[in-house]
Amino acid sequence: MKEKRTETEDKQFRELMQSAGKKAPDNLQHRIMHQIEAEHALTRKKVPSAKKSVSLLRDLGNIFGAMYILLAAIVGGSYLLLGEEFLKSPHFWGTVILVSVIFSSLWMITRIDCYVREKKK
Amino acid sequence: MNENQRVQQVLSGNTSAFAYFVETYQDMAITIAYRICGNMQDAEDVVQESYVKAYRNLHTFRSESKFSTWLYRIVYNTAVTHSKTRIWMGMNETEIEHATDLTDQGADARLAERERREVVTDVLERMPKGDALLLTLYYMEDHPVKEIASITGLNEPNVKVKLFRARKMFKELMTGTYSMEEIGYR
Repeated sequence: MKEKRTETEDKQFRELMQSAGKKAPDNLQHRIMHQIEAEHALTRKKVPSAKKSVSLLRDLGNIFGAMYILLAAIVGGSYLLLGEEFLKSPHFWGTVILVSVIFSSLWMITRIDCYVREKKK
Repeated sequence: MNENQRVQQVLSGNTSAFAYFVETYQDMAITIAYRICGNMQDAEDVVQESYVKAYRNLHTFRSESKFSTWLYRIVYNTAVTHSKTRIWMGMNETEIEHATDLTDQGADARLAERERREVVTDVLERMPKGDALLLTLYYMEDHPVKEIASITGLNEPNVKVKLFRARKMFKELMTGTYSMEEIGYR
């Protein structure tokens, strides 16, 4: 009996509440979609993260590619001009380390420059 | 096409698929925002802001819950932040407000001059915002208590208690002002 009364009461409440619902104005949907599309267009322009990783790899390839070419030239030249013994000397290894340090520093400077430029943007 | 598929469409870049969610839920969203903000202009701004937030954070939506529950939670939070008011009052405050409401009512108010819609809106507007919102969520869209709890951030027993009190207050305000039979409530 009590359950039935609660059910009827709930039904009446539902009818009353549904009559008091608000209706969104006609232009609201248009306003929302317009803003969302504008945001979408803006974020699409901001996507060059793939491009960024491509340029990072290109820099890496360029700098360390040049370094290995130079090292190969030094090894080849030393072997041909000064003989196999020179390749085992500390002089030779000092040169190799120096070249590696110079190119690594160059790579580091490039990365810092990229970071600073991005931050400025 | 179900809602999860539509969400995937939006996530893959088809923004126009989002129009479905706007069209389907904007009325309830504006009702929730209106109950909290108390005026239509602010409610519209809140709903617009909420939809944009929902769009931006769509990747965080987990399909375990209903999209509507997730969206209404955003609307609720945005509206509360926007209106900068406390919508959940303590028992004593509610009773004080309730008592004031009853004494403020004009005894000669008659439903014949008003429509049922206006009467219900009027009563809801005189109730504490949180209570009016609970009744709206529970009866307008048949949200279960569990969903109401996740929209409002209250726990389930608390929702049940508040709902019981809100129902009681609504009835009292209604009978104190209008003849219930006249609006079809017996």
